[in-house]
Amino acid sequence: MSLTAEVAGVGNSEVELVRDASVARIQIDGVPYRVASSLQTDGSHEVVLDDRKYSVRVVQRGDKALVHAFGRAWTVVLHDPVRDASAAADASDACIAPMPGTVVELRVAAGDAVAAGQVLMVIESMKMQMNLEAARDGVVAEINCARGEVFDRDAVLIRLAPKED
Amino acid sequence: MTSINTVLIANRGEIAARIIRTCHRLGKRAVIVYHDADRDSLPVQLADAAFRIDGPTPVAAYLSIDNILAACAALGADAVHPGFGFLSENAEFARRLEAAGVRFIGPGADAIAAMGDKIESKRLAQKAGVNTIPGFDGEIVDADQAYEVAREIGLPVIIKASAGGGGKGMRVIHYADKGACRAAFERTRAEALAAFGDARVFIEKYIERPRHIEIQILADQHGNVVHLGERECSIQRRHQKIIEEAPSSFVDGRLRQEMGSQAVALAEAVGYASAGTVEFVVDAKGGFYFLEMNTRIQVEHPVTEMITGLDLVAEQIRVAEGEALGYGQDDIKLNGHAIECRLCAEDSARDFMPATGRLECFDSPEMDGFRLDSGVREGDTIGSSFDSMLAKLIVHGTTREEAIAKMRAVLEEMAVLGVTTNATYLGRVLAHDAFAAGDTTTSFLEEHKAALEDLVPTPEQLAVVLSAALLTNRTLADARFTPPAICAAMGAWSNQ
Repeated sequence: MSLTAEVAGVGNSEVELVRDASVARIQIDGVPYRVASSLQTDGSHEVVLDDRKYSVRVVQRGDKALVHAFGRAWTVVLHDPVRDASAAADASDACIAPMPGTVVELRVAAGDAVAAGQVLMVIESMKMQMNLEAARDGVVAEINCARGEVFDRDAVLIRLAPKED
Repeated sequence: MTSINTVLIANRGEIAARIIRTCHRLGKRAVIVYHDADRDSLPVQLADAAFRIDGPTPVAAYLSIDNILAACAALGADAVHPGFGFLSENAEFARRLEAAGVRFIGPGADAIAAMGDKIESKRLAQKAGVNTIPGFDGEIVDADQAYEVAREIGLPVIIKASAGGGGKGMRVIHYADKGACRAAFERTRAEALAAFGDARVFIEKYIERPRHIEIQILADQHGNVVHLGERECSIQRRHQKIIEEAPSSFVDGRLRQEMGSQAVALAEAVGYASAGTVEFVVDAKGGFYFLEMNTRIQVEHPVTEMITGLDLVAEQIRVAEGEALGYGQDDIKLNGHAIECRLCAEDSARDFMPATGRLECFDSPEMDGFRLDSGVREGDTIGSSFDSMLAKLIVHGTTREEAIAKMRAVLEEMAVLGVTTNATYLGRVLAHDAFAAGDTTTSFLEEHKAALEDLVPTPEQLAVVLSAALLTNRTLADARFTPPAICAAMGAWSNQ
């Protein structure tokens, strides 16, 4: 599975981690490495990248990994696009495609008031249909797709107007 | 004079912890005051007893003379060590302690008062034969006078708060422009009033690209005064030092002797008795001018301790007990080279903005000739109530090159996580060619700004960091990746 790693002050990388029982492979922006990490008695971690050894310190705190390496402190936040998308669906009022598919039916129009749980649209993917529902009460602000249109995963299909406090 | 039994530390953070250690080594009880924000701090834990104080703000709690007097009575302290900052240069504080029968570990109130006022101290310095910066002798009363005086002295000039310190309340005037002059005068006055409750300002010649070099002196109550050589403190941001060295790469034996004897003369003139520091600005030709005298222990005192082998806090306590120094100028030998770096909770990439957070990791290396003066431990929460300095890293080497190499190694290995610090930035300063060459002036950080910015990591470095982050991730550590739950907004499936 592919994740977005956000390194504070540096930028984003696409990372993918594949593990077997003992060996892990990591792909960073398309470049593959063999990696291993082992906890040392002094609390540091030894990271072996291909066959090069490095001593680092890591603390995992919530959604952040704090790393001390190369005389520098780094903060890494991993984003799972799928999970982020679903979180965003609640948080930012967007109805996001959980997988690639086709729009089968649109049941609302821009400006419509909708209630939580109301079906906004029906999509089809892998020969199955599913309903996408409104996560909360609100008003439809934008519809970014038309019937029959093909979309990719994570596409913002429908957006509700921001909540008024 | 009798010996001191219980020392109350009217301070916090690393200096409090450092004073406690010396008190214990001398067999004295060390007690402390603390505001709630410092309740779980290292010095409170190290102290033999602690007294809770309060105030409108955490800083105000430590600035209240009544709080300290109440603590002395409650904890049975017969002496107070003020550290630096807070009440350390408050003459009224020294007087009120003496009145309460508590010894103040520092010079007398008169010396503090004489040196606490910049205009007064400059006059005293001149009288004692100390070089002073050309300037107008007295207070500047209005903007017109500021303009006239600036033109008389010759530009550039600097306008400063008379009661100033810590880089607050000062402005440089580069051009003989009436409007700019007026604005600078009025803003400095307003700043001075806000920061020190005293709006008086004065004007003097501005020395461009100066070095900031200071002389450490020690004096007892019997008239003996020695100097312990100089400290080079030119590496500053926002007029505050972040790297200090002893000795200075710029100062030779002759200059040291000249500066030292003037500092001693000033100490003698004010009847000084304790540790004190005479600060000078030094121009490119080696001309040096009196800046101010700090009548307290200074942040950067450890570099002097490293090259002299003296414990300055212990000397302060001995002097306060009435003991004679017991050594003369010829007995002071400077050995090797020491460097101190101030480890601050701040973001060098964001103009040194203070940083807060929880110290998830605070791990220092162990190395010969490395001393850590810290006020914090792993797990501590760093708030925004106080100064951003967390600790001081001090190294000693036989040569300057060795000391620089050692400090770079220390900074490289100093692992602080959870709170942004200036450790990496300090390392880049030490790695700079101009620093190695000893070309250290107060404009160093500004002049080399671009070269001191964060380096872009190499792909290899990034790969190591990302691997560490991913491989230690709990969720990912599961051999079986659980597919993410698709949003709850998914309804029933229907087969076609």
